Amino acid sequence: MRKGKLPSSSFFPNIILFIVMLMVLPPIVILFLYSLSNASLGKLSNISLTFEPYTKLLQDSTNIKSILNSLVIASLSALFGTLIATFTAWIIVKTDTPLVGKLEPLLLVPVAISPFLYALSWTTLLDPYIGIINILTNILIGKTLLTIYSFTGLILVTTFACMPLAYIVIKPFFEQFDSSLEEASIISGASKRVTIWKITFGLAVPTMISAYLLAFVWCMEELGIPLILAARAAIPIASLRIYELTLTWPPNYNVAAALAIVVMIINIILYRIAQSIIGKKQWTTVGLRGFRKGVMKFGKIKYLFLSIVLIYIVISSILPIIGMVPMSLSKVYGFPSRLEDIALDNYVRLLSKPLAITAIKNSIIIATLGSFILLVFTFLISYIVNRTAYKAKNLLDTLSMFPLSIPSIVIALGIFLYFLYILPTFIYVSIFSIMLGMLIRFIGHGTRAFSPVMKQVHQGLEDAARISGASQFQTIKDILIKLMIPSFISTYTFLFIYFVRELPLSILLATSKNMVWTAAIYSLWELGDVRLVYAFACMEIILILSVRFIGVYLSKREERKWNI
Amino acid sequence: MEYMIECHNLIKRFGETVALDNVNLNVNKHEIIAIIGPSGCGKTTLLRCIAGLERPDRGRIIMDGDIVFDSDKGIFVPPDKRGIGMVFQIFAVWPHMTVFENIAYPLKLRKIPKDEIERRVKEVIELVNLQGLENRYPHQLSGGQQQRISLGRALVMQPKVILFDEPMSNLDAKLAEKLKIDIRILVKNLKITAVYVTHDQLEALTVADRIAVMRNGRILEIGPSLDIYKKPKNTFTAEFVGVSNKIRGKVVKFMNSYIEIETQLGKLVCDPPYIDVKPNEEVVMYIRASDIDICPYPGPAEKRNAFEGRIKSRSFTGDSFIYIVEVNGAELRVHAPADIDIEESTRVVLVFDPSKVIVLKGGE
Repeated sequence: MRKGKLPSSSFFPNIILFIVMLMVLPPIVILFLYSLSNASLGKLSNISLTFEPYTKLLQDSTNIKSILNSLVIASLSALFGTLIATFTAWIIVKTDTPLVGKLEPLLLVPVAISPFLYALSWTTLLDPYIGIINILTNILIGKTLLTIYSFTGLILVTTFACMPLAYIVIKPFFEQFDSSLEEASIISGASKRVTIWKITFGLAVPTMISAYLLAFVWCMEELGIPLILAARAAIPIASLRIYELTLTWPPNYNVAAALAIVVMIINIILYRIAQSIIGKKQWTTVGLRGFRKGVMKFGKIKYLFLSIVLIYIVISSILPIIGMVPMSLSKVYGFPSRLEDIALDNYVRLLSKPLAITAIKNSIIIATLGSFILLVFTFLISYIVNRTAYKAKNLLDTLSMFPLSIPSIVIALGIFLYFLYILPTFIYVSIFSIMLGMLIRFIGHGTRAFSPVMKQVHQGLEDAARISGASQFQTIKDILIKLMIPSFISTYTFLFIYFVRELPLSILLATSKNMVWTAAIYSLWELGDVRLVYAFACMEIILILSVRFIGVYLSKREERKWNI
Repeated sequence: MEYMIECHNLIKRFGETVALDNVNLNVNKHEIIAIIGPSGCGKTTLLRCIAGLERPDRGRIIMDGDIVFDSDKGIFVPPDKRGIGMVFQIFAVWPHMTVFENIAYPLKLRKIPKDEIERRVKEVIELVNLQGLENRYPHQLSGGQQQRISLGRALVMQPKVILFDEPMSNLDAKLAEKLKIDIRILVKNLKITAVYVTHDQLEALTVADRIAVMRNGRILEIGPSLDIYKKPKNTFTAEFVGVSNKIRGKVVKFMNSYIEIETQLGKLVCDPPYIDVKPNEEVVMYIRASDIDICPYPGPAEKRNAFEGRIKSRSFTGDSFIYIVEVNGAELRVHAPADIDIEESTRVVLVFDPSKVIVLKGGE
């Protein structure tokens, strides 16, 4: 009976709701309008509805191929990624393999940086001309091992990149797995192998399916990897195709919008299926009293497990990141084979470029300020949703989470078309357009981070402050915010990282005047100066990883302080 | 006498559920009133409405002569302006403040000078027995100590009214035992009016002067604690306050000094009931398990309210035995002292005093 919330005026929540509506609805509405009309730039006022963009979409075989290619790559990469994730999660959580728990952060490196930077890092290993591994195999066996700009390369990198996502879904399943289920099987006479196979993995299947679908959805919408790997090989990929259709002259926004909507519908359907699997309670083995955690004991085979995990980490995380460093320090084009080829020249050259300086400055301003605005704004949204009796709070919640359910390239295109339509040119070419766009893109990320934390803070703590004589504002200031400091720190840092590394919106909106970091890396890549690219990418990776490290350290420290 | 708290016709709905269904409650000055009832009966909602943490849909609440809520006049005084103290089920001590800071918070909000804060917090800390723990954080303290912080914080403003929302339900039995007696002594000494919500009837008996029993959003009955315990006016109260033996019967004889009731056990004699019953009326009788004496067969010479039976089961609880005795096909529960140890399946005689039988109207 604690459903009731304190009454408050709905004036302020109404304003918030109105702003959220203005943020999240028009991009999608405009996207639909473009996909269903011949509207061209700035002429939305007199349009007639037609299915022409969709027929055009189907007439061009490149578009069809791009969707099929995306489906093939997503289905295979998600499959491999999910299988690897299941196996690794099982080793880490359910076996007595030593050390692996400590290595876990290294498994997550591909998502910790960004898929775009991750794909870039792979070019240092498997570029046909300058890739270190290919150069080595050329010397050793006389031919290149694999060109990363290929279908195989795409699947390889996408697999590694989506594995952590599947891992994050599957690991909790194993953590909440009741060991007595396994013990019961062994007592019933089943061997250890049969038990692991039939019971442990058997029960994991539904979780694996939902992890697979979520990874699939992610692979479908990912732009960073195809941008680096598919564009050079001229392999059509749906997300990349959406972007490319905006680059033609005259730009093909209508077909781009139609393709975006097709991708969105595919993803929404898959996402719903995944959600419904996760939502089904009959599969859960959690929440019973007397629940026992436990690991299975293994003999020497656990060292085999350890080496598998180690090899995987070396290949998927360490090699590509390590590959970047010598490349970025190389005076020659490619791998510095002599010590005197190593110098900071690329960095010096990069930092003497005004474009790079502008990009770094802009990105830092946008990320610092933008994630702060979003932090405050999504905190207010969470407060209204979780702590007030505001009538439309469910609508507010749904709307603020809405951008999360839309593929990143799709919402980016929608925001791009929305801004083309409403923003005056001087704002459009300023950093405000990019910041505004990112506020829309990441509003759901912020709300999703705050809501569970606010639910965890027991409302009684705030009630006690009200009774003690604190006003609603004083209560928020003295109690709620203070208790949420750890999550403020972690939310701020991950939003900061999202803002810095954001790709689709950045490359759609950035011009020479409002250039941002990630978009600048991409334009250097287009120009072909890979040494500068690697130097610039290295700097971004260092920034991302150090901000992440500082964020985790500070929020952990705050949490420990009061033991909450 | 003027009341400290008056609730008039309070109605509160949460969607479809009616949490308060026209509740009227008056609390005297310096009185401790307990509100008991099963979970979901509306007792916590009533308390939260008095606190101002919940706004009723309709009705009026007057506190110490001032209207703090009136749906017709659109008056709603927020909780921070009602000047009350409250102790919560979850303690609600702030984990990021020390014991001192927790208790000083209400004073700081009122911009009271530092030395006075220091003095008053020190007083309260002594009152609730937390000396020496001023600079500890709550997570370094036990549940009982945390609840004492909560109590201290509620008392530090010297409120006229203090509200308790199931303050013992997160404490283990031993701690709760001591704390509830301390609470009664403190509240009585400080001459504060208290409303105490609990689902535990024994806790209510220990702490309160009067008890109100709630069910489905209504106050079923209200009266001095002992009356609620000894003379409940309806079956729900009787069962809620833990009377375990229920017997149905029909009044067959009605005399001035006693009545006779025909039951499954046989003919049963009891004192004239405090409710109005007529001859031939169907009634329900309740007898406390502890009010029944168990004797070895053939039992006492006097055969009034003596019934022969056989022990069906026996369990030892540490300080007493619980016997289930079968009498004429009915099963009666008997609590006997630890020294009365009788084997299972033994024939016994159950005896109880006519004054110990609670007679209530039969139609549920």
